[in-house]
Amino acid sequence: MSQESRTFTQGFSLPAMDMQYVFREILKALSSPGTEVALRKPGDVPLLNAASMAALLTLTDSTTPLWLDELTQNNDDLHNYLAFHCGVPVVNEQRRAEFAVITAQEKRPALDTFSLGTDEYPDQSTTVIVQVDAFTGERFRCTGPGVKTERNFMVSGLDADFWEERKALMPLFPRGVDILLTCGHCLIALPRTSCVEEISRCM
Amino acid sequence: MMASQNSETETPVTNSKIQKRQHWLSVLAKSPLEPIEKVWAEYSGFVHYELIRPPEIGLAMVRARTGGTGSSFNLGEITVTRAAANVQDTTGFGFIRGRNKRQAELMAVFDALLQREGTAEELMRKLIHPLDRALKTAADERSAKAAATKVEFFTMVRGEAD
Repeated sequence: MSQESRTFTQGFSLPAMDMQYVFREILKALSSPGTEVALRKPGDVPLLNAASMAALLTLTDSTTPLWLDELTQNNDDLHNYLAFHCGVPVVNEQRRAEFAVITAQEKRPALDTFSLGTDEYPDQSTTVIVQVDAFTGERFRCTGPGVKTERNFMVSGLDADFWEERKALMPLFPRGVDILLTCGHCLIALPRTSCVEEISRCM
Repeated sequence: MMASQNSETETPVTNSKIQKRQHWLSVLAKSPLEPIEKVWAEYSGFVHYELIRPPEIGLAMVRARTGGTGSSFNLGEITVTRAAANVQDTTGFGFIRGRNKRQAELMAVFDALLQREGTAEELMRKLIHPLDRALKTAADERSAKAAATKVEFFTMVRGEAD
């Protein structure tokens, strides 16, 4: 069987500049949790939304194992794209992953199945990128480091279990997982230190 | 990059395909830019390409072995320029020694065109074969020059008294 050469699609149009910009924006999002930032859009992205891919292009390389959920695991286009632009190894075990992408809430593994890091090396935890439906809908209040009094943000498409699981990890600090919520080309970061409560559910 | 990935499932057919591709990539990488640019002028009017990896410069470590057989050591770093381009749904790659971004870009485009049936044959005739001949002539000239300076050492046959 002769394998024809595969086709690849474009990543960032100005890799160096775009990655620096996206890195700065993610840093901003992480240092002020609950704030929505807009990232640069990479070219034709297979399967994932633009913000998830922008984050992966910027943050991952051959030394950061990536875990993909059931929906994205077997997609050749996505694998080719990631291999070509990031050279990132895709792993099957959540615990070994430094980055993870969740696209569907129904088949999501529990947050504590990812690497939480250790007390000595909490930085070895998994950073979980979660794609959500929209940054509107349910309203949440965020408090903790990086938030002066409180900051409100809106998200829809996350179930109650997600917030429960996240809350359950909080006492384990400094261990835990950092979450990047993405929708379209926008991103909201929820580091492990942020305390999130639901305020209201929109009708 | 691609050759290494299906090495296990290779059949003789793909093997010769890979060798052919290695040949034209080698020719494009070693040739000077001007003749490549000249041929490109004929195609630039109707060939549209998208750079999926704009030309970028990096370093590669050259490893060598003493006398070709000793243990390998790091000889030094060289600059390498790479690019990748799509012509419709074919991806071409360009890797060259040095920092010529334009050549890496054109090499990627021609690699894509050479993989496509419509343009492959014509390009082999117009571009690859003449460049290959020029490279061979240059190499021959160089070795002829070197051969002219060759010094023959004659050793007297020592007559061992018997």
